[in-house]
Amino acid sequence: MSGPALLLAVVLAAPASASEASAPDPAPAAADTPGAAETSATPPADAPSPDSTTPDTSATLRSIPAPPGARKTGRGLLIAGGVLTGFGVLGRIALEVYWSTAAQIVPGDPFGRWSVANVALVTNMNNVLFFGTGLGLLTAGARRRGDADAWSGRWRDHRRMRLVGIGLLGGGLGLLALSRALFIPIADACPTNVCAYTTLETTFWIGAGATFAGAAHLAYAVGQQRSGSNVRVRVTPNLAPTFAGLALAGRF
Amino acid sequence: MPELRHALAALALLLAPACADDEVPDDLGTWPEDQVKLVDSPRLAHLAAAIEGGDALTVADLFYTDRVRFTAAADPTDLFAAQVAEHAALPPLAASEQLRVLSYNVGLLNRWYPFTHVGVPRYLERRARQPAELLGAGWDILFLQEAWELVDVDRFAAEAARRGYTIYSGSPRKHEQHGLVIVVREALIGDAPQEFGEVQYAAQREIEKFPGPGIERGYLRWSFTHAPTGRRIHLYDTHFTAFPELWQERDVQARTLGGAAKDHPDDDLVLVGGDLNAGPYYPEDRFGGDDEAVLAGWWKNAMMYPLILHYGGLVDTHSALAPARDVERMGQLLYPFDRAAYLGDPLAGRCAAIPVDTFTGTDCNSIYFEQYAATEYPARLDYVLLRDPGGHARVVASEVVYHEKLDFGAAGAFELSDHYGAAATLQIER
Repeated sequence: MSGPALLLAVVLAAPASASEASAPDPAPAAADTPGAAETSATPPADAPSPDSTTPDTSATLRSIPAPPGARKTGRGLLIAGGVLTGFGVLGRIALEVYWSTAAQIVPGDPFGRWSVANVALVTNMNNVLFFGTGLGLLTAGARRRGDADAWSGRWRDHRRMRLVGIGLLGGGLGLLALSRALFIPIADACPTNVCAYTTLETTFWIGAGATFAGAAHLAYAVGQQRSGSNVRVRVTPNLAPTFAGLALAGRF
Repeated sequence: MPELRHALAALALLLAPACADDEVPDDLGTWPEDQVKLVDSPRLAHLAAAIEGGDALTVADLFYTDRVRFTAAADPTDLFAAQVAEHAALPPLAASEQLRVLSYNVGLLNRWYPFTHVGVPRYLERRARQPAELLGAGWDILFLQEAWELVDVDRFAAEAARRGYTIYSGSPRKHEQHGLVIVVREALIGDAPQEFGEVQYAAQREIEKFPGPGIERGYLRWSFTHAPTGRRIHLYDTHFTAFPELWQERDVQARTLGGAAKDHPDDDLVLVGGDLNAGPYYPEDRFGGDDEAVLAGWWKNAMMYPLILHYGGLVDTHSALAPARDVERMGQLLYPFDRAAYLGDPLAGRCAAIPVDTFTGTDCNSIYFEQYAATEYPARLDYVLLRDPGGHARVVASEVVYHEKLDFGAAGAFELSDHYGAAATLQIER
């Protein structure tokens, strides 16, 4: 070749995540294609070739518009998580109805310490079966949705969302943990069953609500942030005796 | 109560592999009482006659299910008569003080556990009335069972304080599990140090505690010096495991309690009050039950009574003045068991004909009927037992009490509990 050759090197700097690596990801530039694999064998663009006569210039960051619908939106996860969480909500409400009717708890009596183990059993059955799995799915879905939204150009203030998420999640989990760890002293201090069960349920709903909202915010923000980092590309001009061109590097 | 049995049976099936235990005491065979041959014991000889190969069995053998094959009902008639004869042989006391003793299952159970509620009907109405009714009746010592909740203990304690009684209910945490309360007239307690004990049996039906309604069976002990006579008195209040199929747990509990009751000087008096959850006599092995199935295995339940007498060296105060009438009253029931007849009318319409002198757990009690209706034998479940090797006490009366319906106003008329009370009046030597 007599003229300067144009080389476009696309380097996959790192896989975005295990889940993403396992998921087919057609965009951009067909990163999972054999061609992409070949290019990954080339030296990283930001590690200049020994032949390079031009020192690495400052990186140029750009956003690349993505083809619509190229990312998984997390819709299935969100629906599944919502359904499971809905079951959890219904189960908890059913438990409260049971406590206030068929269990024949005398409202004005002191809380019975004997029932602590059963309270823990019935509430945690519901929590583990429905709320826990629901939370996991919703969180995964929110993360994926954040990623997909960012990919399709719908950006939100992920830093703020992250802070809000951490605050809500920490507060919710903290309230749940503290109120459960201190439940026996709280119940002992309560003069009546009404007080003890109201405390139990109020802290649950507030704590769970904050935990879910916080986890969703945080996961969405993480999704957006990671997607943001994924679309960072570095375009580096390369000039060598045998070729001249641009090296394009980044995470996709 | 049927719903409790259903729930416990389901839980038992679910948890059986994890909770399996054979209930044979670890130290079985090491006590002299374990090694006695049935035929050589005046308390247990009637069992030998009803068990296959019974002539060769020792007391320890009774704790092994594979060694106990009943071929007939064990008839305690001779045992009842022997206790009367022993008591009659005692010389009269020159000077004595009267002691009125009550054992009463107050039936204040009202608990929930996963997906189930278990409770004795009319809990709210009865709990409000019991302290005044019981502590206003002149009893000196009250052994109460099934006062499960601390709030109910507080009610008894408040009434006790008003009426000159003192009360012991164990520690708050364990009390919620055993539900026992002992009440003693304060004026009877001398200056000598008192001793208190709270024991939970090793033999338990574990699912009663968790995920059941938080029950762990045990006994309370209270030792004090009887001020009017200077006699040391040891009180034991207990509530054995319920349900006929759990006879093994009950028998082991009887051994434990009997051993504790016997561990006192011979000149001291020991009083055991409690709901022992089994009668001395069951004429047929099949009786009661749910739906179509008739419950079998009743004969084994007749072992608890002679076992606790044997291990504790105890006397049944209800069979001291005259032979207890368990055999006669059981004979008045309708046989073979006809579920429809027993469901249609308490004890198949025979309540009026059966004197209230024996059964303390019976469908003739409207609250009991509401819970159990035709599922179990009526029986004498509640006892006042006496240990008095020194011969310092006499039984002067024994009766079944609190069998009348009370007027609860708008709530209706019903008994104070689902059990009747077992009462004894004693004379204590000065």
